[in-house]
Amino acid sequence: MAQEIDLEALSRGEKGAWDGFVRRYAGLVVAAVRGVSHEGTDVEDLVQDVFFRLCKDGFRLLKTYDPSRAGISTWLTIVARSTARDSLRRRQLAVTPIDAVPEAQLATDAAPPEKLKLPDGLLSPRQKLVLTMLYDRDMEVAEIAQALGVDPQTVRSTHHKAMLKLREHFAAEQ
Amino acid sequence: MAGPLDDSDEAALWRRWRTAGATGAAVPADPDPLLLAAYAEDRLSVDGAEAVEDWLAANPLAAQDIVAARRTLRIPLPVAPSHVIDRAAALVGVADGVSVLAFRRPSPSRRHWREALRIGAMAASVLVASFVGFAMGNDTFVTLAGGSAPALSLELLDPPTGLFNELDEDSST
Repeated sequence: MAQEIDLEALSRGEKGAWDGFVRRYAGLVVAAVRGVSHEGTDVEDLVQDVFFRLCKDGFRLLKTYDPSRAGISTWLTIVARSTARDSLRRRQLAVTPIDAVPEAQLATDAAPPEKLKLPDGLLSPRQKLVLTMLYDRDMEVAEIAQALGVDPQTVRSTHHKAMLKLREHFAAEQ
Repeated sequence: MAGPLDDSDEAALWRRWRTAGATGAAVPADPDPLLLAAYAEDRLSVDGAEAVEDWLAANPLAAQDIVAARRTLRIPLPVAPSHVIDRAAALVGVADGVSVLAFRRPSPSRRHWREALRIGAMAASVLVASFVGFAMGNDTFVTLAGGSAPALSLELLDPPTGLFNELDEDSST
């Protein structure tokens, strides 16, 4: 797909290349942004934020794309979702008065934090990831399998081994 | 086989370990989007994939980006509405044959209008309350002062007039 887009012309800032790029990938960006937005969000503004980020500072972000390392649709989806999340966070910080937030949401353990500090050593990165997805993001086994590119049985087995380690760890502590 | 694993004891065990060991643990540095995209396409080495999974475990929101990115590989590209395309295309314009980045004009969202309306309503309420308070105070004052209301009202609104009257009376005695 990347071959159909002239990346060199794009990074030079050629208007025709930019228009072609936007025409081809705007739908993908809309779909990606919808995946992270919530009700009442202006999806079109978020889409605009994504394209703005791609072309600002002389197309700095777009120039980092390397077709030999990943497909442009995959890369754009990740860029679009993370940009949309950042934009939503900034808007929320700017306009939400504390009185408008339900008390339950102000409690520290109401929702998992966006970034977790996880202990090193005991569990492998994959085991930590599986448990995080299962218990902090409430993801389905099938969805986790899709994220990791493995079959659901592998996810269950990873989960099982991780739980054995945790049980042994806490049993030894007592 | 692909349903949720909903064992509350196991969830509690995970949270206990996560909380107990979190002190002092460092969140790995953010990888660039290209590395995440390569991971989503299974293009990384075992070590490379492990480093990304270590980061994803600490950034669970990004884990769902990987799911979404993998999904895009299996579906045809969707088409966006034309006004969305026009707006994004307008970010790069052409002036004298040279491409330039257009300034982005922030679109006024409904939220901004609501905020302006709220501040306006508050300002109007303060003005009305001030006016009513002043009128009530003035009425009470006039009522208590009896028949000399016009003179007192005049003095209230124009203190120097009363001051000069008093000065005149003093100078004549």
